[in-house]
Amino acid sequence: MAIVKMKKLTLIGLNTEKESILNDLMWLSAVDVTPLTEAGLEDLSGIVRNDGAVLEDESYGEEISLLDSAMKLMGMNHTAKKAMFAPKEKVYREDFDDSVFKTTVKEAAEKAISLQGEINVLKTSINRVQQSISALKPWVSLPTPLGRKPSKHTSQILGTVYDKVRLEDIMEIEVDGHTETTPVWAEKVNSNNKISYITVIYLDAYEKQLESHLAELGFSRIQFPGFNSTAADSISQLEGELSELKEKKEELEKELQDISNENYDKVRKLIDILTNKRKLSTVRSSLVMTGSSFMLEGWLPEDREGDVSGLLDKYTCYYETAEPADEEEPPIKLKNHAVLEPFEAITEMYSLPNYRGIDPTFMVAPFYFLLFGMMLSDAGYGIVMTIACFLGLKFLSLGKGLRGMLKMFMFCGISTTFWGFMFGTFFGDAVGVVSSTYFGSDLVLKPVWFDPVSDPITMLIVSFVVGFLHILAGLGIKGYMMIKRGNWLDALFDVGFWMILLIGLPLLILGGVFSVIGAVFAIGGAVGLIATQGRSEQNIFKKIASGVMSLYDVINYLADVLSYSRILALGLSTGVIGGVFNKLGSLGGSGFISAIVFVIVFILGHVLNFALCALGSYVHASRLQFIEFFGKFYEAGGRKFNALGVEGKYTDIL
Amino acid sequence: MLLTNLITAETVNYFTFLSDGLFWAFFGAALAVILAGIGSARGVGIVGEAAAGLVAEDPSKFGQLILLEALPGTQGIYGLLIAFITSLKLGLFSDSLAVITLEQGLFIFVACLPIGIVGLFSAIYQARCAAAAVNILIKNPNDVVKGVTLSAMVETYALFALLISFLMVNFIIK
Repeated sequence: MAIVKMKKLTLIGLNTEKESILNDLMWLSAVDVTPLTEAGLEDLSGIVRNDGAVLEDESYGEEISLLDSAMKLMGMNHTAKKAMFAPKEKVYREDFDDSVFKTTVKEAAEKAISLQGEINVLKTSINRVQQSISALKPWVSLPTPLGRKPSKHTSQILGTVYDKVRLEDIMEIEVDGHTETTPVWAEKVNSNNKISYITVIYLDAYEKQLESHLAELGFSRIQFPGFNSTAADSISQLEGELSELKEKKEELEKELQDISNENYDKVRKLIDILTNKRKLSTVRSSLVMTGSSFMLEGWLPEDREGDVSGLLDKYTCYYETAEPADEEEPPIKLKNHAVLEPFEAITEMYSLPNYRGIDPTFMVAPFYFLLFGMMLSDAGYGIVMTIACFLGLKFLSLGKGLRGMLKMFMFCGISTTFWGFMFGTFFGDAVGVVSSTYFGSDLVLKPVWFDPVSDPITMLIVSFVVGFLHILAGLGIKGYMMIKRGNWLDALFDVGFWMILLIGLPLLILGGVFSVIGAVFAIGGAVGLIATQGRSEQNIFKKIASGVMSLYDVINYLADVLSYSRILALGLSTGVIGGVFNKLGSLGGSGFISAIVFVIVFILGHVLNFALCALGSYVHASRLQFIEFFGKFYEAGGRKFNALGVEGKYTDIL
Repeated sequence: MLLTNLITAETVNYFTFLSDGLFWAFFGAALAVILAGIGSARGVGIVGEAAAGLVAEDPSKFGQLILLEALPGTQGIYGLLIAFITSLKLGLFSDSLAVITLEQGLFIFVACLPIGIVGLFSAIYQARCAAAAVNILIKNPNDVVKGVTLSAMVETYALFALLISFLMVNFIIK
């Protein structure tokens, strides 16, 4: 019905035209190229070999990953302001062959990456210099040069000790059993945080004794290799270097920023172009070829046949299109009316249908619309949802998938609004709360139909009725499929009798004439089922036994219907939790401050409630489709039709 | 002899609230929030732990992870819902508390149990399911809704418990 009919394309062409044919097919975007099957390859073994476009493929991969890292880099560095929801840049077919564009952009990308490398080197140098400066800082007041001996027979060392250590202790070293002070002179240069910075000058002859003495005192030596002038001079020299490095870094950063501003969009465009080229070469490498010809197999939608043959007729090639053979599984493309189309996403989420099955979207859509609305059932949320989705569709530039999603939620929002008014909820009981708290009136939003919170049993019955209809619709599709395939009797036995029985059972409860009709239906259906459900068995007893056993399925149908009670539960949770927030907000009474508190609680609370309940409705409405509805008839397992075509991640390729 | 007398007298004084219907009703309402809340807190925590690992590697998945993490949070809300309805019916938000019999109070206590107990356990099981669905998000981000649906299957039973608790509370006090 709504599964697009496919035709199989087989094409044999000249190798010289291969590139150009594939390119044209890609721009036509109508053919799903499939690799040759195992069996097909076996038939042709010895004649054909695989195309070897692999090397080219890898070079695209390298280019793309280079550009990707350049893009990330430029994304961080570019400062050009862009409108938030600006439409994507457009790319045309001519752009694909623009080799000058490719070279310049690639050069810019490489330049950006090498600039970043240089900047990183500079950052490391700057860091090192800054560390040296901070290490030298405490020694600024030391007048002697750092790395030079003060005189021929004396040396100087620098280091730190805890400030509890007295300078006198340092100067007293033990020589041959008695204390001596002459060979050592220590001076405090600076102190900071309980640490003293000490310089020690000593006679070279006493070096050994001094070393062990200092170690005992906890002296830790500091050295400045490579610095020969005084600390103050070294610092001013390093600071000069630092400002030079910083200036250079700023220069490079400016350059990188300029390159990024100029090339960011171009790099993205080139990535899109190369990604598509790589896709083409991947497809090319999956084809088989002989010395001078190649062969391609694929699927195309029936309605695109004219386009494809119009294109191929221009080339020196042989091609044929054929109906799919019985054992073949063509890819699936769904086609529905624009209103139903967004709901294809629900079908697709479960699985695409089998090519010889049926596209259930025409039934999924109305029931999803209904179920979602009844579950969320709040006019306020519905209106917000509808308007938000409408504005999103109008002003945002979105991918196809996201557009479909928004469209679906816009429809669901309409349904939510409708049911909200039916059940009298508008942001919970906001109308009643606001009017009684702030205006002293007893105005409330009266439900058009009834209020599920005060009359839950009616709502429960409504839920069951909806579920019952949903399940009957599922059975109906099952019967339709059987009839379409010519199995009239199966349709009557497996679907017809069940429908009669299922319709009869609820009528029994209603009383009066209905009970009589219900009894007739139920008994008739049950007898029919007992008589026919064992028909595959040979033995007469087994036939009857299976027939009777099949009635046990009534339990399953009952369970399915009960599952729809979640409509009531989810509807309650939206309405009551919304009411909780209104109550919380209005506890403060009617003053001005309380009104502000109310608005804040109202907004936060309802945003939270809306998010959770919308998620719940989305998931549970889907679940009812997947388990209760699809379980009755759906033949899944199709592969998505994926035409070889151009597509852009960052740009619109036209 | 004297001691027994004393104890009996004291006991009667201490435990008269047990024969007050309102006590049992509020006890039930509190349990609904407590048990379902514990379940949701534990559940959200379980998914959060699994999600944090992925956020560390790929912060852009945060939005979808929040979706998974929110799933076991609903049980706590259902508990709140029942407690709220019960409190409303008992007149907590009006000028005076309702007058109910001990029997009614005990019935309300029982009515609050389904959402409390089922909420506690279903939130944890649902969370495990959602935590496993984090793997779907790692391998195939487009299929995350399938993971959400798998996890929501568990919630069905919390929904049923909510329904029964609600209907019972609703019919015990008109």
